[in-house]
Amino acid sequence: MNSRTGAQARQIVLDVKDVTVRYGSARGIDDVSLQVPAGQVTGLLGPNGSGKTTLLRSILDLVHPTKGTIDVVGTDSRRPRARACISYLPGDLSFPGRLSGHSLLRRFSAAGGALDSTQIENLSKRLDIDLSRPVGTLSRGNQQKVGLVLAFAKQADVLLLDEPTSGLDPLLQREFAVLVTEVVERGSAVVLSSHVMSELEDLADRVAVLREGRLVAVETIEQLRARARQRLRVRTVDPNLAYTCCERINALPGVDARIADSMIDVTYIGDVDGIVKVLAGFSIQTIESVGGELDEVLLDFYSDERYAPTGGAA
Amino acid sequence: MTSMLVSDLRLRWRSLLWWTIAVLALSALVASFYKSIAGENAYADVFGSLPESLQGLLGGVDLGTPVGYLTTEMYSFFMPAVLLVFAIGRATSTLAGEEENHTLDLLLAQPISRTALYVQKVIGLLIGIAILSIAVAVPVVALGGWAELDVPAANLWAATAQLFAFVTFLAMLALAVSAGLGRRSVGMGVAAGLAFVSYLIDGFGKSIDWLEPWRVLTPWYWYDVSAALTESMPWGSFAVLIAAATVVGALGLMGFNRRNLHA
Repeated sequence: MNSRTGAQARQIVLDVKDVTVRYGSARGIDDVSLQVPAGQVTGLLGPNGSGKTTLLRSILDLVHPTKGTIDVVGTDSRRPRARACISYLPGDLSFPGRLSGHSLLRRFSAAGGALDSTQIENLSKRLDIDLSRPVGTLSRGNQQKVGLVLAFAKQADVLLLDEPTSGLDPLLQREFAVLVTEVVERGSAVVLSSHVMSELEDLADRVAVLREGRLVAVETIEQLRARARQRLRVRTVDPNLAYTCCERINALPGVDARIADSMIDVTYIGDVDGIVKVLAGFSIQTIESVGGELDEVLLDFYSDERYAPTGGAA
Repeated sequence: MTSMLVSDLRLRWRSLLWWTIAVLALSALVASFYKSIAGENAYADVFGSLPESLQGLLGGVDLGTPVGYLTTEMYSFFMPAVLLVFAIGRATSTLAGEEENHTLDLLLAQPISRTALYVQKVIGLLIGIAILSIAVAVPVVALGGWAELDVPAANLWAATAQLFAFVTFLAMLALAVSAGLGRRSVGMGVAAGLAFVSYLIDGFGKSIDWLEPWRVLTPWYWYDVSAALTESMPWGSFAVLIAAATVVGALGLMGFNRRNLHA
């Protein structure tokens, strides 16, 4: 799905401008700006409490921004009409227990949800969920499926999905990915929040990273990968030279090398050219390259002082 | 747009049906009991021997007459209390309850304004209170002839309207506080607490001089059921209760519109 990245300019269907939300003394979000184009998946990533849910709820006007504006397909998000263009799946899904899945979907249609009944039938078959049973008797995973039917049965321009795969088994996670692909190909924009990178890696075109209520990065998956720390494990033919080699590698900027198990363990960001040139001066027995983990990039965003929000929300 | 009202009524009709049956049964029981005491002076004597302050608290009229019996046994405290349990419970669960159960987020994520939702919830609440207020009167009309509980129908419907207005005020207070703050228990506590404290103020105020001026601030003072049963519909009291309910409801709506919903 990442192939869509870099395509021609797309229509911006969700425009969040300088939005701040404060809850009394508690942190909300601070000065967040994000443009979400049609036909793409935008991942919203951050540790618990970083403001992902607050951002999604401010788009729905469930919390009122203290500053800034939000436009949904050209409509101010404070107008109920804006929500006609949005589908929402909350993170802490909860349904009135006595209602059957069908009654529940009728209730949301009554509130103007405009659900497509053919699509409801279609989705309930694909997700293998019995909508005639009282929702309260369903397992957590099956309740999540009802939530997915609710989110995907509406022909929405923007889908806001807050940690949508929690409680779903791997098979259904795959079906969920197919559903997302379909709506994106239809031209909808999907905002997918998660605190785990692996959930977004294959689905998202780009990822917005939140930390302590502030947006610290909006990057494509490729850009994130380029930031990932790469690792090399090098064995010199003469073990006695390993220390000398290690010292020379360590002298390179942005590179960290140390000896472990008589091998040189090199961690670096960016290109490998300088390291290769150092290694060329030694007789090398083996080189192993270990791919960079995106999760580590995120840990940098979450913990590195370089990305620390300055003057952030209280 | 009344679609949420219909949806709510569909969701809660069973509970409302059980409440209606219970109120009909209670009212029938109380009404039929009058047959055994009709004309008995002993009750009037016992009542007359009570201290004045207690008489005031109990409704202050003669138990031996149909009007006195209905006022004291049914309309002055018992039925308002039963209806308040229903109304305050329903008022606080309808918005704040849904918020605490995390179901309000999904509803308001749909293209419905908070005002439209609030107004439809109020209408649903008023329908419930109206049905139960009528359910109090129906057995009295049906059994009145047999139980010798003869009260002119116009007076009985005037008492019904008073009961409706009184319960509506406290229910609106419960709804306004709970929806305005997003806390079910606070709305429940404020409305039930006010009902109880103001009952004591109004009751004792009838005989305790220094409390007397405060009676006018209590909903029980304006709940003029004895005038409704003995004279004619006290429109003034009815208007005060409905106006107070409207003001409180409007303040609750302002609070509900302005605040952030709890996640």
